[in-house]
Amino acid sequence: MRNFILITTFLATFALAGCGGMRLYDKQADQLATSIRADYDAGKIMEVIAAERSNVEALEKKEIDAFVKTTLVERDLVLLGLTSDGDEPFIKLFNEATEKRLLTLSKPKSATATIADIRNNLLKLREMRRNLNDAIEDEARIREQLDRIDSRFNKLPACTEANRARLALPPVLDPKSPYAPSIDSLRSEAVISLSSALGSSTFAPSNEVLDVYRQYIDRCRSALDSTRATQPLMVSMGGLVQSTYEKLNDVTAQLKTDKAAAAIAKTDLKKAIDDEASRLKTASDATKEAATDLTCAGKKPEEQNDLCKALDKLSKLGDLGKKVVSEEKVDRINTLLSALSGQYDPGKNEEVEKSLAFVSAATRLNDALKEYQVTKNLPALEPLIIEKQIATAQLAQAKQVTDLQVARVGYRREMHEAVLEEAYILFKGRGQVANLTPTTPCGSVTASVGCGSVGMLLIGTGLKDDRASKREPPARSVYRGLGALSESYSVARVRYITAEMRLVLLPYRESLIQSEASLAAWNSLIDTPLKQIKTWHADGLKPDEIAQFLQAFGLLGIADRIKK
Amino acid sequence: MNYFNRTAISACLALSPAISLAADPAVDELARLTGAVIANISAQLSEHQRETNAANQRRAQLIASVVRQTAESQQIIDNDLLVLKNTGGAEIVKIFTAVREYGDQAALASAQLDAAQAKTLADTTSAIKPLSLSTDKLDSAAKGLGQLGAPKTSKERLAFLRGYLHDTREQIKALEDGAKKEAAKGDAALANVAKVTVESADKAKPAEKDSTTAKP
Repeated sequence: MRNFILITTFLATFALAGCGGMRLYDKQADQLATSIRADYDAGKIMEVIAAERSNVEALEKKEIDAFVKTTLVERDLVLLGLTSDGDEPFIKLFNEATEKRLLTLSKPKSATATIADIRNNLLKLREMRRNLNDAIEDEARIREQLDRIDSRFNKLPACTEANRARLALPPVLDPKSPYAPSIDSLRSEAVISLSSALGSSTFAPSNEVLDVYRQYIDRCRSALDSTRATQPLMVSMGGLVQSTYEKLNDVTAQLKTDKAAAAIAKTDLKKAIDDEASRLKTASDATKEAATDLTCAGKKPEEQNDLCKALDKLSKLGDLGKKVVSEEKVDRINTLLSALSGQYDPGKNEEVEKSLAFVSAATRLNDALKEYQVTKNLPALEPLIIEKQIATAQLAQAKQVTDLQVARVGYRREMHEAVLEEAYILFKGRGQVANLTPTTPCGSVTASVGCGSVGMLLIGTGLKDDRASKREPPARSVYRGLGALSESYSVARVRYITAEMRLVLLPYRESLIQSEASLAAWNSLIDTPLKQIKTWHADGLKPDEIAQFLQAFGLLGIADRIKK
Repeated sequence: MNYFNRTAISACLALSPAISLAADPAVDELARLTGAVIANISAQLSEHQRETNAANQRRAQLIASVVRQTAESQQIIDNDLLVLKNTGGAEIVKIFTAVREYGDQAALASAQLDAAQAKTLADTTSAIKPLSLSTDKLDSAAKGLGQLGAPKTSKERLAFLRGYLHDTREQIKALEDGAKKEAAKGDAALANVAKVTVESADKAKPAEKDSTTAKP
């Protein structure tokens, strides 16, 4: 009997040993893990952001409303001052008030410049700006078109004055004159022009595409020419016209340059990923280990491969660079997830190796490629999904912040437009009251229309009508003039302060976006370990399972027999 | 029977190298690290909320201060209008009210034009909205299935997560620092605009000594 028990015990132990990794269930730990998970979920940390967003929006609205109201009250104070100011001639008061403001809007550098010069400059500017705006819009539209046609156009430098020399105008590929060069010769010239712009000589698109490229260069150069022509006029105008213009130009050029740099860095990144995958393919056994070591962190610049260098370049481009990297991460992780799901055969699909190379260099899964080379195992599912969730949060953040950069340009543009609009409206008002200008100096003679106060002009009787043009009653001219002044506040200055407030409040929105990305990343990161810990503690050999197990092996039956 | 049963199971368990009685160090370490991360987030969230609430309070005070100054100016206007109305200045009050309305009307017309343009753009954009599928739920389901699919929660997997969690913390911390920096920038810029705008409105006010006659 004793031997029988020992043998049975041994067999049971052996059987148990076959269930590798089993351990005892701990009820208390399971309950605790469940309650921790519930507490964390109840914390609803992402709801903080929703509340904060609603606060940011509410405060922004109230701030803008408050400042708009201040502007309108300022308008009323000015209008009341003009309409109730005793016996002073209205035309004098009106011209003084509008002149003072116009000199804030535009203060010509020339000592001899007059208000009439400001008006002439404005009219000239209005004409030039039409061409400029058309060219700028066309340039942006055709550039997008080129990017869609072929991603190699991403390498085109930004349409800025600094890049003018590289953006030479290619010839028209349609020789009309019998003396013109042959189409082949024109094509070669166009391709050389394109190669020079791209800094690469391997791209020779079709004639139709070259024609679109030519249109782009044409509109880009037109935009640069118009800007070049407008600039001296803007600068000579001084005041708010000049300062808002310069700030608008700065942010526009910066955004354009950053976008072009990000596009170029993106192309470099894709090439570096391809190159790393090829390098691995051609590596000998001796060099394979080095080829799979793609960790970028902690390496000196001279030790870094092209992939690390491309990532480094993108990291210096701020949110535009982050957007490119996050997009690439999401795409590459999706490829690996597809491979994990069996959609691709990793051995046959070269995108899988490329994705592993990228993931090894750009995420914390540094050994992904190395491990795959040795074991043929793809990275585990959970970290891949955590990486994807973090990359998705970062992508959303980078997109929103780059949208804010575009919005910043928009607000700067609105401020500049509002300044010009205000000046136009004020000149319109001055034109409305121009016919009230006295024909002779007022001095002691105040009984004429030209020298009449608002009160006198409104009553309209007892004044000698000394106007050169008598198209309408003086009261109407007063109304039109004051109406324009009122409009300059209600429309233009309100537009200016609204755009300025939105610009000033942008950092709060940017702060919110970063907080949201940060919380989303934390949330993704914590979610998985919490689930794992909960699963771990829910697991384990429970007492009833042990009983069933022993019964299955007949141990309980043996025990019963012993008892009997 | 009890004696035998206990002996048999104890022997099985003691002899079986695969069944552990003690908690796994990898799980303990992961739990400790996750706990530390949650505590850290909790602390940072508290700090974030405190700072955000304080910033919101500052902004609310600034709004209240601007609104008050505006109301003071409005009071001057209302008083002046009353004086004019009761001292034969009805025509002036009439033209003042009319030109003010003219300005409001122009603003309304301009806003309506802007709104119409924005609506056209929104209508067109919504008609051609780019496709964007949120994969959050799919990822979550995949992660859950990944856990279900694995026969056991392996030590390696937990150990990996522990290291991974540790490495990723630093990166996220950088985002929080960025958020704080941006909020500080907003505070400075807002205070500056408030100062300039209020000064401009103040300049338009009539001098104290001659409160019934407003000068531009």
